[in-house]
Amino acid sequence: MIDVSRTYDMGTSTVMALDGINLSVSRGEFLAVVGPSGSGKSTLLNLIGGLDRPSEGRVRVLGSDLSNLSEEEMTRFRRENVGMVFQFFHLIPHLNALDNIMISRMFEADCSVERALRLLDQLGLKDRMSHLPGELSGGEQQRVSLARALFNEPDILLADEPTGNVDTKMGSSIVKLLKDQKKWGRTIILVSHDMNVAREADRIVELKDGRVVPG
Amino acid sequence: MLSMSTCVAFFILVSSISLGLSEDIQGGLDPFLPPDSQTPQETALEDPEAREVDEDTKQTLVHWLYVISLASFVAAAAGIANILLVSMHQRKKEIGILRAVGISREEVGRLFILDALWMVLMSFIIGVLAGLILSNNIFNWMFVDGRGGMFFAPARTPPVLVLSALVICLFVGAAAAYYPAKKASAMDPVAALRG
Amino acid sequence: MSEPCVTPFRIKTYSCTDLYRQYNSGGQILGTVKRPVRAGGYILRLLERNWGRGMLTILAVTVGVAFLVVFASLNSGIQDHLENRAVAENDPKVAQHYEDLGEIVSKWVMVLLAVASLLVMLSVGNAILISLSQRKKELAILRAVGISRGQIVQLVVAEAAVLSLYGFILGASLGACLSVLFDWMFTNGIGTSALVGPSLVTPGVVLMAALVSVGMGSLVSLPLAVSASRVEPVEIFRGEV
Repeated sequence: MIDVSRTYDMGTSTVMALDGINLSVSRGEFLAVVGPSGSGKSTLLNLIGGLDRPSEGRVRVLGSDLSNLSEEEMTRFRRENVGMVFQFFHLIPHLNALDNIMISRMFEADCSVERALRLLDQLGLKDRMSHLPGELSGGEQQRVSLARALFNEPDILLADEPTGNVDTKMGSSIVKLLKDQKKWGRTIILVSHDMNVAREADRIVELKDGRVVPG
Repeated sequence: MLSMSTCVAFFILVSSISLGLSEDIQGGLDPFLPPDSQTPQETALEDPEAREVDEDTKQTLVHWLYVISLASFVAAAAGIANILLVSMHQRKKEIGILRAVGISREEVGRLFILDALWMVLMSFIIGVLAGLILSNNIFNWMFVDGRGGMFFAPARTPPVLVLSALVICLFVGAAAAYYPAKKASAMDPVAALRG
Repeated sequence: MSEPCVTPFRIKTYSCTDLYRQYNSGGQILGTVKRPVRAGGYILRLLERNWGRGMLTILAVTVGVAFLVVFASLNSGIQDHLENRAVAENDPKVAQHYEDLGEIVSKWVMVLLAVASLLVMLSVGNAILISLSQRKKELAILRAVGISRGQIVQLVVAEAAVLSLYGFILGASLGACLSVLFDWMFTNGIGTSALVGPSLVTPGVVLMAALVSVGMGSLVSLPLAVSASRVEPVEIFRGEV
């Protein structure tokens, strides 16, 4: 199954974040998006993940056109198909690590505690399970974010500068963890300004001023 | 912050309403008011026991109003303290800059107390206006089938009472602001600028 | 500021170590962690983090509810008292006067009750307003992860309900104690200038106090909740470099 995205986004308030992007990503591919800051990398990621809507054009992910989805459907789409890791982690400050991983299933009767615990185990966080984000180091917080992203077993993983706030050793191990997800048939889209990180990917796309740089 | 200020404004509005009501009705309840053409005649009660119950009730109702003003002061103080605690967290960086530039601890604390007093002032004005409107209209509602009941005169608002209410409100506001202001002035500028 | 040993929000929902032990031993964990507890646990942890603000709000609500209960029970007591007097009175004019007095007192009490209700609603509304404005980013995270709007509304209203429930429990108890005290004072003739009749704490009074505090408190938070649920996930990135 092919993920096809064709996006033209004018951004907000006369700032053209993305200008006429025509991009397609195949399933199971590890894509890296690079470019200077302000080139619209994060906006592209937001569009693919259903966090934002394009001003012009269409985003088609996993066979459904995101612009046609209602608010409810888009929320459900995000919950079931997309996992996101951010540069600044964005964990809920008053919940412990285990709760943070399970938040997308907060209201469900079956909140898959086993799956969360298994993820914690795999990521080496089993001793830090009951700690608040304020008590965790940067690398641990990022791993919790990764676990949160993987909790619902999504088909698409989006990572927005995941190595930005952690040290290099932790950064490379996180990228390795992301790459490992390919084994389960997940599509991974990584945004980074670090070329070392981007080199791990199958394909590199370069953005500049909202446009794809050819070649 | 503006939305929060308006909320606390309504807080003190409640207390001011009650104070306003009690001030004004107090005037209207004065049993020694000389009868004039505007005053509906009260049925003269010969039964001394009934008269005593009457007087007691009047006293009681006014007391209750004062008591509820007390309640609203407590609630309003809690609200102001609430808002100031939050604004203190939000303005951590600003406080750090102020201290680094050379503004002393007391002045930073004073800044927060002035913030609270300003909120109190604005809401006091709203509250007094509301109180005036209410007390003048409540007179009509309190009439019982043409018999004057107890309120046989329109409400009076002695300015002295308004001024004293203002002083009390300001005092309550300052007291509520005391603890957050103290915490704010005790902040270490280095830590504040960093986090 | 050091944390007190026990805040009313530190209710244990589950224990991480227990869960892990169960998981390790290969047992089934599903039964331990149930749905209401998960979302409820979120709210309780949230309130615990800002326990100072929560306590202040509960204080305000307590005072308001206490007054509600006291005045309502005073009202019912005085109505009874005056009715008895009117019935026992020979002179019809005086009896009529007692009835008038009863009506006036009840109207007056209605005004006071309205003021107290306003107090309760404003306290809860203020607390929720502050809480929401502080949590924009957090709510955006929830939306991004896939929590729907309706669920966010549930969360906010539940937060208001928890605060008002605490306030109601404390306030109603305080109010009931005060009413009993006033009743005793009246029957023993102490301080008649402040009381004109006995006070009666009927179930109706308590019900009304519950409706006002919890019902109105949650109602007040509803529009705030709805507008908060409109937060777009992009808010995560507002305020970031």
